Amino acid sequence: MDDQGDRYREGRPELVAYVLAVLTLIGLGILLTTIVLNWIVGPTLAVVLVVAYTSLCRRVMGRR
Amino acid sequence: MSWAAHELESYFLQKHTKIRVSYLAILLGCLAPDFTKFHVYGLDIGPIHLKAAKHPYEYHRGWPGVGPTHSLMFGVALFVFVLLVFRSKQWALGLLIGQWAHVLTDICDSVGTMVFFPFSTQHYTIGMWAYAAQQGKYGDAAAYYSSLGGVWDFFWLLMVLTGFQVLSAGYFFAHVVPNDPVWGWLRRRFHLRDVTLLAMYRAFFLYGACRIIAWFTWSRLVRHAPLDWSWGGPYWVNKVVLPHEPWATFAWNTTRSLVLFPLSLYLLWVLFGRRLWNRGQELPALL
Repeated sequence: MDDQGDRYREGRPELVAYVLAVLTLIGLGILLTTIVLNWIVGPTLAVVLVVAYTSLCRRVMGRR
Repeated sequence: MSWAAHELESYFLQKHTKIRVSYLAILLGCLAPDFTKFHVYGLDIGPIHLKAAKHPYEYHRGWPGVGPTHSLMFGVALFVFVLLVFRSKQWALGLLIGQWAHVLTDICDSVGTMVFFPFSTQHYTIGMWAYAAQQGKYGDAAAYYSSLGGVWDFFWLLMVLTGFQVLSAGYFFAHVVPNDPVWGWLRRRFHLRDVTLLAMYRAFFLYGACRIIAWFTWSRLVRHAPLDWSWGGPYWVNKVVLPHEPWATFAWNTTRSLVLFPLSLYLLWVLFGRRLWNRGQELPALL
């Protein structure tokens, strides 16, 4: 189990990605309210944003 | 009704449940009673037009209506159904824990829940904030995030953040994944990477936290709704309050339920619950 816990490590790119995702979700939430803030779009968008930003941040910060 | 609390309490429960239980099942259990909520506000998506219920509180929390989804017995029904059909102990327990948490959380608003249905249709409420679903989605949001309801959501956000390890990658791979084969199935079926699985696990935390901040900010900056953190507020909304029962009726309903509910649980367990539980499986993680 501990091996599984150690297999995925998070660093600065992941942290930045989550911060960006949170800021985007809050911004879109205030502007679009129910279009974003519902049980289907909200969590789906959270996943999409985190994955996209993580990939972007790793590339920009030079980590694969 | 509570808003983001239902998403956030799933992480808290996952962390503090010391038995093998599925996180996804807890989350689904926390959300399940509100799966019928679309009729509360009405729905307009493309060609689909569903009118809002004339009296949302009667439909959503009452009987006749879908109020029984907000009773402890509904959680028991989910528990039995999952054990009977899927034989998964982790999922049966998770749904039960999550659904019961939802029922108990929703007693905080001014309508409350029929905790002991079908033994009684008595509503239990502490009236901490106004039930205002009849104001529509926007009116309800403004009222909720201007009252102690919003504070309640912030409280659950704080509860999760104080146990932030529950959101870590280590915790997810060491405790959440091994308790639920669904994660392994998702990985294989959709070829998901660790980053995606982890984002899916954290999705309802991110969504819940952002939902609180976004609606709170919207209520202040766009709606300009006055804050009222007094008990039962906000003062400016026309809230639903059920007529007070005489104390004798309340006492009789409660006493009867406190006898019949545990008795029915015992009988269910003896007649077939124990057999279902014993043939249930603790499914191994397939990740």
